[in-house]
Amino acid sequence: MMDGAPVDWGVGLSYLASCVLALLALRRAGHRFGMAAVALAIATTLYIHNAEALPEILIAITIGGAIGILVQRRLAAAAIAQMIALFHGAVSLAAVMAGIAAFVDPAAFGIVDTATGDILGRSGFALGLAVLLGAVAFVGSVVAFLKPGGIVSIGRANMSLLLSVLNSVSGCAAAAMGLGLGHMAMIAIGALVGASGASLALVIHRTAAAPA
Amino acid sequence: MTLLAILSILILACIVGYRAFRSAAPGMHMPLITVANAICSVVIIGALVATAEASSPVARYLGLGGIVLASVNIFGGFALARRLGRGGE
Repeated sequence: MMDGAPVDWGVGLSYLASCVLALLALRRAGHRFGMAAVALAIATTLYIHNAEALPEILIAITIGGAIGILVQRRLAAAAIAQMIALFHGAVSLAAVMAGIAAFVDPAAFGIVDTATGDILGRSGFALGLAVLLGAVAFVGSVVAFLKPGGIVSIGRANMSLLLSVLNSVSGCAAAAMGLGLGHMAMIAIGALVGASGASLALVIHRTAAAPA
Repeated sequence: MTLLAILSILILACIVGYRAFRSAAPGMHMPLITVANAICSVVIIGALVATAEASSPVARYLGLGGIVLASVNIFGGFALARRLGRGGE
């Protein structure tokens, strides 16, 4: 948890449950577990932080959610890989923005070095890494999205390989942000996604390389 | 939280994550990618804290923008995962 914030058993267990649900979701491709993991993480975070901004936050979630659902409804089944790339671009940009916000206002995250008044050195390093990885994932997602209708020409295997690598990079960005903010759940879930994305990329690569 | 605890969590999560997909059948690759992509949305935690706690307006707006973008991935990503999950069964 953040420096100075009281460590609350209920909060810790709730984040732990979120990590376990994320793992179950990855093991079984179970979207229900995944939804529960993210919802629980959001609810816990909102519970322990200043409630004044809650209306704005809920409006922002509603706007983003509506865009996501609408975009998803409109896509043809053939463009699923491109749609994942688009969504992935959005979340990588979100990681970049959250990382920059931590540099702009480190006090909000409880990561100020009391000696200098600046951001803590180790937090700054990890958050810089998170911003960098988020930016890499964003550029990669844009490239994957723009591949001109060309999922056919790239080939299914290569597209899923690219998406899996992008997942891995974003997972690492989330883990780096967790390290920077001292947030255990973000470290654990980010590392889970980062490592599973890397291993799936290897599996896809091997499957594609093996003679059929 | 000590550095040792942080490193333990990081390394164990990497091992578990690395093993999670090892035995995935090719037909499951796309559904797994979709779910993993949607779970990346946990970075919304950073944006939520920025919006809730920041005193500088710049950090607040960065946070709000991050919340909108991450929510696109949460709702769109899981809706897509549900669709793929159903199609795969």
